[in-house]
Amino acid sequence: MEQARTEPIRQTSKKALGINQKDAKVSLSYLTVAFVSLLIGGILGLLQGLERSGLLELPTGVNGTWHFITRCFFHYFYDWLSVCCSFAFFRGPVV
Amino acid sequence: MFNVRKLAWVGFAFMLTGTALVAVMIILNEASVLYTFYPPLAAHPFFYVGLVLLVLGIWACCFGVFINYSHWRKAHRGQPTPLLAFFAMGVFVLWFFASIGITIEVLTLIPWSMGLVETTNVMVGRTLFWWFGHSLVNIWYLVAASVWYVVVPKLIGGRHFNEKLIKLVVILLVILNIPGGFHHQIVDPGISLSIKYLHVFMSLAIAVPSLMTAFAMFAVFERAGRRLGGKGLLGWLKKLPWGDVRFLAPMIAMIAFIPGGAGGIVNTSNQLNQVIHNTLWVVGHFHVTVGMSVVMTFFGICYWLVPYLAKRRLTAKMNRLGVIQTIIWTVGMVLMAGSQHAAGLLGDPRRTSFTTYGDHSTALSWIPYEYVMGMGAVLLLIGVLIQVYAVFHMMFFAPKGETEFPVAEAEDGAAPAPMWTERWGLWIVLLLMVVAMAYVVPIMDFILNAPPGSPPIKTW
Ligand code: HEM
Ligand SMILES: [Cu+2]
Repeated sequence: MEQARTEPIRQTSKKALGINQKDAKVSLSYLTVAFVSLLIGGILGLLQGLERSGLLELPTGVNGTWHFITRCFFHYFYDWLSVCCSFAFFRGPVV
Repeated sequence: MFNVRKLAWVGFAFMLTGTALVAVMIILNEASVLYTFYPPLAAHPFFYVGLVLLVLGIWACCFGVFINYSHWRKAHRGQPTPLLAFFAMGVFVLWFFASIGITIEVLTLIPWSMGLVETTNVMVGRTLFWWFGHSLVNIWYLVAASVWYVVVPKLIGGRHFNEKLIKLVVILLVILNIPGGFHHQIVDPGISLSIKYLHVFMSLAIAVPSLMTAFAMFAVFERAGRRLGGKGLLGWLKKLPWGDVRFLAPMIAMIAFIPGGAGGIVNTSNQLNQVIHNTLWVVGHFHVTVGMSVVMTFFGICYWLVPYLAKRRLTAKMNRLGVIQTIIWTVGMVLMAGSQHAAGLLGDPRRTSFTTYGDHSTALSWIPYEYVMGMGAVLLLIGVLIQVYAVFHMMFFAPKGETEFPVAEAEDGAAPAPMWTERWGLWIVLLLMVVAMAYVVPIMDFILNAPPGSPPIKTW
């Protein structure tokens, strides 16, 4: 259990899984978009959370748009990351 | 031979353009339609065009994977697909059929938003939206579940559960999923009681593969914990690698699925839905299900997938940061989702700004919960900052090296999954039959007995 933290996981299998470098680049690109979206969504989300709690006032007019764009960026995060992972999970074992 | 990777890049370009176009239209305040962008609220046509591009991007990825799958099957006759790839196949099949609903919706909304047709059928739009919207959350869930089943057992030094059962769960989730969309419309008018009744059962049917998942996962944990010397009724729990973020994050995610699923059953029960519909309860529900079960699994994945892809290593220091991030996120989400559930039960509506409704006493009773929600939001932003830092650090700055792609193996002597599980053509036919059973009658009813259509409406 201790060793699991730092050392590579014990390899019980001979057939190591591989994804080639070009596929890795695809997955990393999707992942980058996902985490940039998460960052934007997170900042907007905090402002929205504070607004909804009455702790902060956002300019009128921006308000409704805010709710929507926050959620959109979170969605970009889930969608891009699920594509990234599924692609990697598919190509890793199969190719 | 088709170049699958090229399709993934085509998908990337389409998705990125679509994402940007949608974001720009919202920022320009030309798309004030809320996240659930069904009619009668109308956006600028470019907003819908952005959505079409997003869907085309997803389809490019789907076709890439389908082509890849058929090549692989031809080259490996008589071999069952590796588990993780089987999950990915299920995810992309669901992406494809889920997005058909939204594509039809959006294509009818474009001429309407351009003023080429005057009205649109609101019920058809809402139904097609939820065909997609409900399936989408299950797409994320299926990605998370693939890690629970196939990766987590490896991380704890165990083996994965019976391959046939796992593949059966994937098949059931794919076939039964789409009609669940109707449980978002339990209080909608224009859907007959018998259809709603049918859909309560259709929704609850998804609980079967979910319970199979819960049983299988805990069996895997107990087996691994006992193998590591855990004694007594619960001693094996202590043997699990709680200090390893790659395990801790998805483990908390799995535990969160217990209240998440229970809340889902509340939502999908006709009478209980009347109490919670359109209140903050629903927001609490998706903070538990998406914010914990799905997102924490995705975060956990990052700690091996990113170093693996970037040819780097997870350091002990980064692992520690990951554990701290996981704890902050868990506390933040529990505060956020807990207070939202409670405020929702007291009637606090969702999709609004802060208001006290002229200091009405009911509205005043929500305020303490709303403060707690604000506190949760602060912790969550800290969590986001740490996670984004961790991901980019692992991508560009962590020490170079090799990281394993952790995939669990079967128990010794376990039988491989039977080849009938690979009959995707049949699963798709069954999926389409389930969709037809669920949708033909209500949609014909919406069209044949249509109320007057709605013109595009812009609230701000
Ligand atoms: C046992 C499983 C589940 C059931 C039965 C269930 C049921 C429901 C129901 C009936 C609603 C609508 C509530 C209302 O508006 O009145 C809802 C909303 C929602 N659920 Fe679930 N749910 C389940 C699991 C999940 C999972 C795993 C996710 C995400 C991965 C999820 C994400 C959402 C989201 C995002 C909404 C809000 C949609 C919106 O109106 O904007 N749910 N759920
Ligand atoms: Cu749903």
